[in-house]
Amino acid sequence: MVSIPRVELDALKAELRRLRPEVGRAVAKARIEADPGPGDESQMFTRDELAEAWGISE
Amino acid sequence: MSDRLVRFPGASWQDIEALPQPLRWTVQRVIFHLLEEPVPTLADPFPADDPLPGAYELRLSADDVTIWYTVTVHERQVLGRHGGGVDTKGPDLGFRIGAGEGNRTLMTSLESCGPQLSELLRSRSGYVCQ
Repeated sequence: MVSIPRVELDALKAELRRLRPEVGRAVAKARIEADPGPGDESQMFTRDELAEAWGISE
Repeated sequence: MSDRLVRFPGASWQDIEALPQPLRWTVQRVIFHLLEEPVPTLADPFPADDPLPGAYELRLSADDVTIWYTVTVHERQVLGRHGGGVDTKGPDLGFRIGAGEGNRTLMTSLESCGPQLSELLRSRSGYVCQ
């Protein structure tokens, strides 16, 4: 069994919470820049089509 | 009635479907809402230090979810007004969206015809505006 002081565990969790958005932003920026935009074979939906696909009722 | 379109490039659709509930439901509702209001007041330019053209970040703190998206203008082919072939190009406003939670980032994109474009026609690879 490995014991970790509670204060260290909390610090690691806080650091993880801080780093996750930064990683997400980097990935999002890279994907936005890499996306060729419309014209590929990506799925595309109208509002009604999306509501039906996701079972969203208004 | 919105005439905007949502586009899911890459594996973004599958990424969203793989989210655990209720997070998936939250992301789906937000993306659905963005079709009606592409730039809500809570959206911030993204990235904050050097924003990409038309890019925004929408942070949903309560759900620990972030939505990233851009509003872009594409030059798209449009059909002839009288049913002829492709004969000109016109503006097409687009919205690219990504959402992230934890260690994964989800990407979708919204496509929209501007308010001056009243009809949408489905083409082989997507939509064109007339």
